[in-house]
Amino acid sequence: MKAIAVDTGGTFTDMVVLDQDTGALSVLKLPSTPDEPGRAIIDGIRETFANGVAPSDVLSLSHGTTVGTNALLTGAGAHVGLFVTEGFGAINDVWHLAPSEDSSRATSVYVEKKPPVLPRYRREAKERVNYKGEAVVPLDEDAAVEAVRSLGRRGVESIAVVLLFSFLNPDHEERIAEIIERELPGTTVSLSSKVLPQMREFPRLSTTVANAYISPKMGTYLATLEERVRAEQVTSDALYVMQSNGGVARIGSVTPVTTVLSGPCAGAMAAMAVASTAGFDNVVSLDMGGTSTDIALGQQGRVLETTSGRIGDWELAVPMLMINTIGAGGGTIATVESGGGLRVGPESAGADPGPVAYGKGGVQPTVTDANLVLGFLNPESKLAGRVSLDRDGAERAIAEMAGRLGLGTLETAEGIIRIINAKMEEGIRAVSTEQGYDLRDFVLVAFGGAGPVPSGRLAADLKMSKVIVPPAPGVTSALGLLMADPRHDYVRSRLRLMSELDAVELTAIMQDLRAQAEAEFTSEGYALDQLRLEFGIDIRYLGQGYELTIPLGSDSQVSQQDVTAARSRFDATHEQMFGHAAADEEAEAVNYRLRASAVVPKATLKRQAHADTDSRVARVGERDVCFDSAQGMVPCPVYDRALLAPSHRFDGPAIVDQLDSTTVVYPGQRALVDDYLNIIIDVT
Amino acid sequence: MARVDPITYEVLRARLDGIVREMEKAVFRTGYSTIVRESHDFSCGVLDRQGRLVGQSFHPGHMAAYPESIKGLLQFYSLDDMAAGDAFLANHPYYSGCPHANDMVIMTPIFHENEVIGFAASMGHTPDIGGVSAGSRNATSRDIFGEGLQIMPVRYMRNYELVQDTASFVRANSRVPEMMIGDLSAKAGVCFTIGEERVKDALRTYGKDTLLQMFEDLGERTEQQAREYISHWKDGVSESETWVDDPSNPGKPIRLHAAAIKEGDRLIVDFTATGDQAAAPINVREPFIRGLVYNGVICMTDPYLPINHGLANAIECRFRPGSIISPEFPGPVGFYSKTMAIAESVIMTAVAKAAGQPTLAHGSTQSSIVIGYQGDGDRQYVQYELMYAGARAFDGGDGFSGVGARASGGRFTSVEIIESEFPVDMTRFEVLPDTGGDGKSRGGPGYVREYKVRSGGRLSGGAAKREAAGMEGGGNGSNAYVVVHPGTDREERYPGIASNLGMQPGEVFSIETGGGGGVLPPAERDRELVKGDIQDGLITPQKAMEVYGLTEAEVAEALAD
Repeated sequence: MKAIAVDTGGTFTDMVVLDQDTGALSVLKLPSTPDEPGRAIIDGIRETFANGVAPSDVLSLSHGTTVGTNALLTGAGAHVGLFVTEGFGAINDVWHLAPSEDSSRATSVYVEKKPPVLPRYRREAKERVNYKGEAVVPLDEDAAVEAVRSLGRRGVESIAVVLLFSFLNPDHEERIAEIIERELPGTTVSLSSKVLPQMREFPRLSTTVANAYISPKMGTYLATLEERVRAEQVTSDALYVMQSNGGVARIGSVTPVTTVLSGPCAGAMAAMAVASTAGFDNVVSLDMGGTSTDIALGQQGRVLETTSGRIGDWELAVPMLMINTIGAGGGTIATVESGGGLRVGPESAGADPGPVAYGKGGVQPTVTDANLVLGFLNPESKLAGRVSLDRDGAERAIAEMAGRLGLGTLETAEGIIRIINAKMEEGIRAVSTEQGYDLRDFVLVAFGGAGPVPSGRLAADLKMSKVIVPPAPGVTSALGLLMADPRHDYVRSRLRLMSELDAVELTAIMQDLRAQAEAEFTSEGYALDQLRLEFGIDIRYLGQGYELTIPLGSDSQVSQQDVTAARSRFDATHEQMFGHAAADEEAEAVNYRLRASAVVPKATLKRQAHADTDSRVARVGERDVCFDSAQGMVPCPVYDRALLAPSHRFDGPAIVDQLDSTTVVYPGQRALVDDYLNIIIDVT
Repeated sequence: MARVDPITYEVLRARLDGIVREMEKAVFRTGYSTIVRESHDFSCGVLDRQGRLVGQSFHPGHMAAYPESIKGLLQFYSLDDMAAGDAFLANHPYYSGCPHANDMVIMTPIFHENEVIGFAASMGHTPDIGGVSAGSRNATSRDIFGEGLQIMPVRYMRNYELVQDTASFVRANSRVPEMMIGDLSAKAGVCFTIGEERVKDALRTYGKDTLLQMFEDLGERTEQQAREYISHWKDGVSESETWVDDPSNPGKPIRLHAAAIKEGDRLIVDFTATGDQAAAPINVREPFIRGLVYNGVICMTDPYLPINHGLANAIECRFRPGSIISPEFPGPVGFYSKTMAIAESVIMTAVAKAAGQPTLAHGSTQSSIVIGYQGDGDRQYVQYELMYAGARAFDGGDGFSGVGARASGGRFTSVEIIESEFPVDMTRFEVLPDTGGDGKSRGGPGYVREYKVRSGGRLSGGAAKREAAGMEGGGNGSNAYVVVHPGTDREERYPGIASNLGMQPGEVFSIETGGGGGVLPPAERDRELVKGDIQDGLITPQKAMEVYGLTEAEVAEALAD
């Protein structure tokens, strides 16, 4: 059987086919089709079948998508209408977020901010549910029918319903959904009590409206894709899309808003899997591509998550992996500022025109050009088999820049790399030391075409002990798609003092969550014994504005001792993350969570036999490399990644070339090839 | 020494950026009191040994406050008196850059081979430092001695350990002593473990000479960059002004005036025409105002302009001692933030004009409320809320609703949290039509939050009494109000601040926030936008006809379903 993963990038779509029986990987690189993202997937499937794979042999097809994210960021979503509780229009109409995503910079005063839904498409439902979940004002259904019709006359395509305390009592929301279905058949409905039945009305509203906003587009895209995949005779029911929480979901039943970080999540999940198979649980993943670098942190094999994400002007409170994306990639451009300074990034030449070395009209030196001039990249290699690199062109561009800076060419190339490295190091600190983690306990998993070049230097500067470079860095992110389980998250909210939280009530909530999960997974065709359940409580000290999620095990039956233990774990977690705890103060439970996954057969990394050779068999030559501009270019051994085998060792300085990436082992560092063909670099 | 090479310069700049950001995140994480996190009113900085700023996490008001604090410190302690592991504390508005006693600064010297080469510092809001009422606010104080414990620079830690003599004074003067010591010690810890350690890392990597030269270069290059931007502006004088209501002298508002004078590559912001300091605690010390001026220039030129001493060299501020924004000792400053928010509008409008940027109206200022409830038995509740108001319009764009002073914003306390946590029901949270200033570009509207108490309590709150000024024919935004018994014959409306109002179970009060000012005459507004405003409930049909000149037919068209 073959597991197929498709990672859609801005320029290329990578298709990886994994033979489940042999562990063999084959990789297809196709031009992306941004106007119709599904087309590249179908092109890839056809090419795969043309190469001899039978449609019936497809075990699963998993992909990441940016359809939802792009719609959110470019404002190309649906025409949305909204219902809120009467008298509370400002939950939508007033701006609720910091004006800018980046609080570390001055915010322009020349900005107009629009609410999630223009008030003219917002209707008020005459109803009120109180903090106990009691309907103190019954829903005026006649008025609701009128309001629905008026939205219909105004041409809305998708309606969000977000009523106060609907997470305690969803009746009125559900009743309005029935009215919409009757009055405006075909209109997409997003209920806050379904999308995110969680306390705090604004994040719930923003998340639900975002879902309504991208639903029609995502729905069409996924339905068309499914249809076309079926037309290719693929019979597997495991057609998956990656979600922001690092799990996959069936393309027929995914909640659109859970896919907005679909792309970068696959890489983070792959890094965790690679590292944990290699025996490391604490991981920083560094996925460096052409325009940007995605950085995530995993502890004990689990990627850090957040429930207060922000994408552009949308606050999204669904669980998402915490991923720091910074403007540092191979195509990142260096410029000389008016004051004579050298600036690197965040602008990128992308893939078109791309670096000067691509010879496609790029004239500004980029990180890739600098790496080529310094000898890190192989001028003979044809990037991904498609583009050859013009070293002379890159050198001319950097020499010209060096002239303006009054520096040597090598010094300037080295300078570009030092600056971009400093930015990546600060990007890594942002997800690690700034969150209270000690980098000495973490290994760096470096991938993406460009990641394994700087990783040894970054790890050394950050005092991390090891770098892991997986066997196929260019497609590691796609592999992550094959290693993810189907996952859904469920949540309920009730404000309860921890000292008064009753195990009977808590058990009832957890059983309700469990029933919901079992129903959903069963309807998707999974067996109950495949389910893995993890319960949790969000707890805060009384008066705090944020909570910590404290795990509560896998059993929905909760005892009073479990509640006490959760409280103690909360104090301990608070101490670890924030440096102090207040065991004597009241704490309060806010949300109750269930993270449910179905354990499915999926790609596993296969152990390879030890070689009876040593690394000399892979040493294919030498090239001149500059590790320090003061010493100029020095000869450096070059290894062929394809010839390296488990147990091979070699010391830096060394370069490992392969089709989709280059790994640099810096002077003083030692490399070992492990049983899974990872290169493990000891940087200490 | 020659300038640092451009590559090392850029790498060190990224490092300094990273150091102050990492410090800021760590204070946020380790701060003991919720006020640190919820208000985010703090920052961190690195300074050279002369007390010149070389890096700071973003906080407009603090940009000139750190140098002022080190200047104060050096009046009391010479560099020779300092040792590694020292941390100094101050909050005195006249001997540090702290705007009032609640804001406190921790300063730690960074040593290299027995020599001070710079300072790490952190400044921010703390919950309580004594005085007549909780939170150390006192509307009746007529000098700083009525505003809690005033601390001239003093040693807070020695050899990385708390100095008990100092700690005892602080403890004895706070209603929440452990929280205070917790917050201050967290800040000191961050200065040591991140500020000091990471600067020393840079010393090891680049050497003392390079680092000290870097501190010089940073200022020089930033000054050059700022002057370069300013030199492209048109020479001339650009003014903006408004009046600050003085509670100690009703009916006699105080003029707040700024003239941005641009000559060649120089910018002088002259505040000397500003009125006298108030007897009431609404005065603001100079450093905060300077910071707002630097922030204005950054906003108008380049958000990536580094924050350091170069800004102070490129931009001159002139004050008149004895004025409300340059008060003389011991003038009270407890409610400085009310005036500060107004000054921000005046400065931003004047600097925008000087920069040849689109005209900016003045913005409204945030409201706040505190309600203490007597619950069942002896259970007491204190509900505190900050409410952001209507943003200024600019030529080319409307203001929105829900922006705070210094352009912070967001984070309304959730209706669902309030009702679950406090004995109160919320009955309204709606935008108020006709509250944004009229204009071709409309000011951001205010909104109302209305509460019906389930239990008796006492209420204080409101905002500065003032209409945010419109510009070039644009109208003013509306005032903010506290309203008790709204919509009944007992209704009372308090413009500005109301304090200590008694509420009985079942009674209703509301907070109406102010609107932002408009720009250019409303008659010039695009009629389709006016129709949209009617549909969005931002203006009434009546206003659309009377002020914007819509016909009855056009209004009917807008209202048609």
